[in-house]
Amino acid sequence: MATNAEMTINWDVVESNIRYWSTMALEEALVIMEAKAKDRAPVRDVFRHDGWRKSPERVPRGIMRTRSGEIVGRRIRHHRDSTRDRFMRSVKTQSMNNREARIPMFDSKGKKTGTRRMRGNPTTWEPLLRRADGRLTTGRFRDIDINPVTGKLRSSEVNTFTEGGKRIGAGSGADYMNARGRGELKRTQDMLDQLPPSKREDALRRVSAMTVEDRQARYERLNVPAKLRKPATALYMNPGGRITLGGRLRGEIYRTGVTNEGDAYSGEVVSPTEYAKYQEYGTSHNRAHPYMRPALYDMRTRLPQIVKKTMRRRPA
Amino acid sequence: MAYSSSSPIVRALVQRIRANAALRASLVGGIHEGFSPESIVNYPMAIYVPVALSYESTWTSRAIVALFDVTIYSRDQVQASNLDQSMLEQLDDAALTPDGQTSLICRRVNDLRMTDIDEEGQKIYGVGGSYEIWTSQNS
Repeated sequence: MATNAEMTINWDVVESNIRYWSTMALEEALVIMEAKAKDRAPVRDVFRHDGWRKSPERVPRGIMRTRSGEIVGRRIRHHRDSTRDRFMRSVKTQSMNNREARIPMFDSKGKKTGTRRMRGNPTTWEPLLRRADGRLTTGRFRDIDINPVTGKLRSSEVNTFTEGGKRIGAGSGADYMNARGRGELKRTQDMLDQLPPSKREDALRRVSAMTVEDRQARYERLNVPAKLRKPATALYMNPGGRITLGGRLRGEIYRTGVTNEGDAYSGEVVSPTEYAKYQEYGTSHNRAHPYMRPALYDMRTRLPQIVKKTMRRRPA
Repeated sequence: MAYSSSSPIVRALVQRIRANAALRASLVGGIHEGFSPESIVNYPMAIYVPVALSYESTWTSRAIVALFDVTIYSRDQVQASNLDQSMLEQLDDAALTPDGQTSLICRRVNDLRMTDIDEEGQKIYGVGGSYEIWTSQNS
């Protein structure tokens, strides 16, 4: 018995699917590019990190820049010891150069077995603490933010580090700052102390979001003493309304939606901060810290792969 | 054979700039990588910044796509522009010789211009461009 196979292709459906999945692919690429740009964006260095280059064993307390290599190393160690890697939760990205560190390795009994050299981009800030038994550990670091009403560091009230329910250390954000960070915080707090409580939140919001000219005009209106008028540029009000120290450039990077004009699809990752171009290209005062173009170049090789992968999926 | 990193590309770029004796002699302040010009006393000077150094690997080869910003800083705008023109002639479509790699492309992809004022109130002009460099190497 003869059989006839007949297939009809509805080209409108095919085209619509291709357009849909192209948009999806581009959106995925934009998400990755935004993350890469944020990962590379330079962030004001206000923390003490006196231990990252030396052996962490010598550091009683400080901030350790955690590198991706370390995170991977920890993951391996925790997997081997069948313990959960609590450091992997809520890792914040932080841009730094690719640097080398010696990471202490421990056996299952907690005895140091040696060190291991690792390279990678630092990805987060973590307080480095010495526990009662002498072992070093890292804790989660909350955002350092400022209570707009009291003008005090919020993290100074709550930063307690625990492991297995046991308190292993505590400290305020200021304890972990370098001289620059402490100076900028002090300047801000001094300014806030000059103001009545009802004006503090407004002043902080304005200070963190204003241009230099607006900021000077604001100081005039509020009668802020001249010695306190240096802009507290480390302050940044993030989209959630919290005022944090540093991270403004990184926090303001965003992506647009995908749009198309005919067959051309486009989307943007935007760094709207007014000093973004000075960081990207450098000035006569500061060297360049490119972060947008490296993210774009990284995506050049990745975008075709994302499109291919997306196109292989079945249409919704 | 192991692949080499982007270091030979940086070396080749600097060698290429220094190969032009007239350009080299004109850059009194020297040629520096990723530097703050303010800390240099002598102008004019050249600064190159590695912006992106991306790898593209296949089973048997690896390409490195590099982007460098090369900027001339000078107190004199005309001098900066003239030296930038020399830099363009020296680098655009140049055949670089990175160790262990084959140079595929060295091409200027955009211009960079900036004017800044130093702490003494004097103007500093930065004129330059971004150069894309592609190299290939086999395993």
